Amino acid sequence: MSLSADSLPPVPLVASAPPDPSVASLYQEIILSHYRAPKHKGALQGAAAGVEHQNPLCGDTISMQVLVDDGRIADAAFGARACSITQATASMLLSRVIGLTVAEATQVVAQVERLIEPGALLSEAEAVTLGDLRALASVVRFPARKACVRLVTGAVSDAIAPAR
Amino acid sequence: MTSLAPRSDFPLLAGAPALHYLDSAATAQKPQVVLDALEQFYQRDNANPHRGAYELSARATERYHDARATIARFIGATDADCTLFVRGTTEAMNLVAYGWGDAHVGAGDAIVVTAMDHHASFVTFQQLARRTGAEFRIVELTDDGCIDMASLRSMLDSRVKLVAFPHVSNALGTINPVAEIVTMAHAVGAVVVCDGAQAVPHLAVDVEALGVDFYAFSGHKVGGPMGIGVLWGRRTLLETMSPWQFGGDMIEIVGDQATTFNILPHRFEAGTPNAADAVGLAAACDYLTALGMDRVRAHEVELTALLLDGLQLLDGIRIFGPMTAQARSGVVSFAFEDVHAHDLATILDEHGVCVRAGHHCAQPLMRRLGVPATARASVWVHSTPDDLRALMTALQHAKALFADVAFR
Repeated sequence: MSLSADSLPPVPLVASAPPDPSVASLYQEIILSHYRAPKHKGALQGAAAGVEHQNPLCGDTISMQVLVDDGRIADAAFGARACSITQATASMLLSRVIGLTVAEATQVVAQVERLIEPGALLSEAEAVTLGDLRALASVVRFPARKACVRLVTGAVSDAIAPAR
Repeated sequence: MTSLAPRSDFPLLAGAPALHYLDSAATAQKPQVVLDALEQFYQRDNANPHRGAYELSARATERYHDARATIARFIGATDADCTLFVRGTTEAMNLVAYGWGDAHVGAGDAIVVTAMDHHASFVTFQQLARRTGAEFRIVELTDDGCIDMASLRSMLDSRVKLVAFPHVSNALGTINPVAEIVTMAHAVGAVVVCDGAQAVPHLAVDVEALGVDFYAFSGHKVGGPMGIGVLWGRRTLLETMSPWQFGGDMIEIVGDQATTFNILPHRFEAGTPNAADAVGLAAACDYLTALGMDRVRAHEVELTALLLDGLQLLDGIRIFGPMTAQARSGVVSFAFEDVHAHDLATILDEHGVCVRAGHHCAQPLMRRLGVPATARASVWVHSTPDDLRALMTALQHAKALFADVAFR
């Protein structure tokens, strides 16, 4: 699957943020279920040394290991002492990027970062690409929690940077 | 039981009837009298103090001078010129570190802080130790969040030049036995720096009776403006200290190659003073004096007891710090095994309940508690049992939302 910008149709665009401003929109079942049973949480055998990121404002930490084989993310894992949003983001994002090329994963990371900004619009193709991650669009209503998502996207970017 | 101060005294709270502001420990809401004092200064008295030979400037100077006297009285300082204006507690700690520490602490000496020190003190004196080659010693805490006096005793010897600790812990609420610690520190010849940021808004403070050598607090936590605070110091120490910032106001005679410096307090207040905010802070002190600090304390003890009782009803909660209201100020930090502090704060926010979630600028303490963050509720003069009920309801909602979260 190619995720290059050229391959994405420019229209139609959908507003990323759901209309529901309540806290229930943030803690949707999809986010809680990833928090409840996170995927790819733990340590990778034989992966390159991982990265560790901390949010200096809140003290949460995340570690990220990514195994790149022939330009493609073969496997990845995270460890975290962090809130539900951070842990669910890590679980969803790693689930999404494993199997992608480093270039494709970089685009997904950028889309997630765009998703949590006010007024973000996604093409339908992008929405399909993001899958579960679309649930993070509700973070836009909770600006204080953007850093919880960025803690993960920053760590993934950093972890795949050497392979770029 | 109602609030000690009417909600209508605080324009922000009066304008937001559904808001339950339980984050006074981070910053206090401002009484109308403080906002009035600021406006009045700028509308009637504004000129550069100490400079103009005209009536308006003289009036600005007088207002600034009177503010210092009021604030000094509020903290029990008889020598108002030893009450220095700074930006806040953080700058006060830096003034001590650079103004006193660099001249008196060297390699082979030791500095003692506690595991409950705020970063303003912890990091400032840690860096002083690194600059000077002094040993940096950290007093550990007891399981109930008090300074371990045996640990403190074991760290005090003739090498210790400075002992720093908070009067009241910002993250735990613990009220520390200041006089006892001062006696121990002075016995080995150390200078004592006390961080009063969480004490001055809540307790009657008398810096001279406490016996400390330096005492600092921030105006914004007392209901005053942001950007003004106080360092009180012993005259004998302040007079031997070199200025740490240079410029206007703090000079006596400026020669081409050398300068002599002004007397206290100007020697440590370089540049145009923050007169308006000093006047605002004085209004906040007057406001609290009128309420009565003994009544402020009694009100907070009552609310804190309610808060501790209520929180203990929740399954899976961990409450940090002493478990009696008398042993702490109106600050209670807590955490749940299964709901992260940030998630709590977000859900509480939807109920109009403002609490702090995070490490409270006390990462060394968080490490020792074994948590990345806690949620912290804090009360002040306008707080009511109704605010606490809203907190409890919101916490129950948060618990329910995360009830089926099972960890791998």
